[in-house]
Amino acid sequence: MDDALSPDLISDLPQNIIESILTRLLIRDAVRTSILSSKWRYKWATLTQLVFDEKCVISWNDRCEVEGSLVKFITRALFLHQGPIRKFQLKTRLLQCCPDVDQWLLFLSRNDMKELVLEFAEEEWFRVPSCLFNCKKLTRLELFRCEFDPPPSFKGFLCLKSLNLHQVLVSPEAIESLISSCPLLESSALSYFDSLSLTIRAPNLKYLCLEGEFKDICLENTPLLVAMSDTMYMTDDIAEHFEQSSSCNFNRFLGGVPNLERLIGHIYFTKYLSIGDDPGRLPITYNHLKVVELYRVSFEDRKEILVVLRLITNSPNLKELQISGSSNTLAAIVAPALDFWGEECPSDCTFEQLKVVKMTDMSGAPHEMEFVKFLLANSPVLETMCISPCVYVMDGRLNMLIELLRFRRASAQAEILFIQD
Amino acid sequence: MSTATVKAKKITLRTADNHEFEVDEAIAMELGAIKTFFEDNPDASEEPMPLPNVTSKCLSTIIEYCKSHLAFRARGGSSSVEDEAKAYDEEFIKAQDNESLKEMILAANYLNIKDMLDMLNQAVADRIKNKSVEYVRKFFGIENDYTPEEEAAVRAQNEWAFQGVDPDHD
Repeated sequence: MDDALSPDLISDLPQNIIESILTRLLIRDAVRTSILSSKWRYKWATLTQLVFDEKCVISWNDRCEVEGSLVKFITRALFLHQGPIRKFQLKTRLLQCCPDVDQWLLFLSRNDMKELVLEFAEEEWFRVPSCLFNCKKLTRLELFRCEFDPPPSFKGFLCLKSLNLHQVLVSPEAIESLISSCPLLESSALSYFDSLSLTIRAPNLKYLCLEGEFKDICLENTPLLVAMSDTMYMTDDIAEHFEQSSSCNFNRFLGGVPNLERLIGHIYFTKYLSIGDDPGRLPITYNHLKVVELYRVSFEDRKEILVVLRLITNSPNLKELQISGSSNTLAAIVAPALDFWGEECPSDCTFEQLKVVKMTDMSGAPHEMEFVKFLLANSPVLETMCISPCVYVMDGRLNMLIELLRFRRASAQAEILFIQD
Repeated sequence: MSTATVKAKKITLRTADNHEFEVDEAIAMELGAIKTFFEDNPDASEEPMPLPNVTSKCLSTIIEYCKSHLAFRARGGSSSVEDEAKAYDEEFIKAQDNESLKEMILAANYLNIKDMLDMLNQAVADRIKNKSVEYVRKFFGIENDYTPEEEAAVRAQNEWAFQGVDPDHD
């Protein structure tokens, strides 16, 4: 009874709200709203963000049928669309070799596209057409499994703020050149470039995420970098390269990032930093570095311990430290003698702001315990020291606890939490 | 920003129906439009801010919502707090009728309360997802003004999006 009098809740909402609602639906459902009433016939057609994937079409068993349906869907949607298209996203395991994709990109490049996300599957790399490089207004580019080859005349994306490339076939020179020719670049994630040497020059870069097998990374001009997450896989090839290299990885990586606030280093990051000549005194202090997370640190490797020490003793405002140990060692390494701690640690070192420390995957090895002892003795405002033993270590736990009890604590509030799974 | 000598600074808002609401500064800053106004006019007078597009009933609901979410945020980002916040939002939506929901969407848009607007828009989208055309029309009070011929024409034009769907059930 109420229905006839019930006022229309949504048909008269302003277009920006309608867009916000319709972009939360799958595009197929958004198009279907055209049937609701005459007002709705073309509301979907002015959406500025178009997101396509295989959910747009019914999944037939026949791959050709699905491809055909998907191509028809996207082509019709683009053809009926009105107005600017700011974002185009396509994620599919099909279509890598489909000429229609090039046509769509050509159409989009003529429409002031700002954001482009393309993700294809592994069978064949999609070769990005040259029209992409004419998208002058591009602010965000994300490519998965594509081949990317900028023409020599390409001068960069002057508006690009975000660049994410994953498993993209591209020459290192092209990436370096691309990054340095995008003056507004703020955020970048690069993953799975095999054995890449990369020099990054990005004066506005704030957020960087690197993952893959890298031979040589140099952050040459990244003064504004605020947060970084790195995962450096090692292969025998790379390990060999390192043996012959003498350049100091620590300085090349962390020598030019005075504004760093957050550093996350995943597998082999500390090992990577430990390679090369000893940098001696560091040229910069990390005054803004508040959170450091390092995974798979090998406390049996003297050089890796030095990397960690060097990093934290140059970070006067460090608040949170998380370190996970490594039960694997890459090669037979002779652990340093225990008097190493007396020699290498600055005697006047205090972690004035350090509040939380988490040590995980600990095996209770002597150097791990010395490190905990060092932190406890030099952290006057420490609140929590959280220790989680490695799952494989069962017998050593009691010994770890006994040692922990003895350590002097500079902070009266410090709680030591021993977390068993 | 003017130096506040008073501890909890209050801001007065005047609605379309001439009710005045005194709110803590922290809550007023959740309303993007108010926040921007004070950022641009740091020496703004203590006069009540006029909100000609918002009724008192609507504003009081909005203030309640913002208060609750400020409290959730103060408790930190643990997953249990997030779950509580989600449950609160669900109850909140259930408690509103369509008319109030529409008013709130428009008000949240006018006042630029991003999180609330996102939540409301998502609630509307959830009501459209996977629902039949009839259900959506009924729920939102949309009158079908297509003639049968027009409706057939729209279906034909967009048949690529209606594939595999029974026209009766959708």
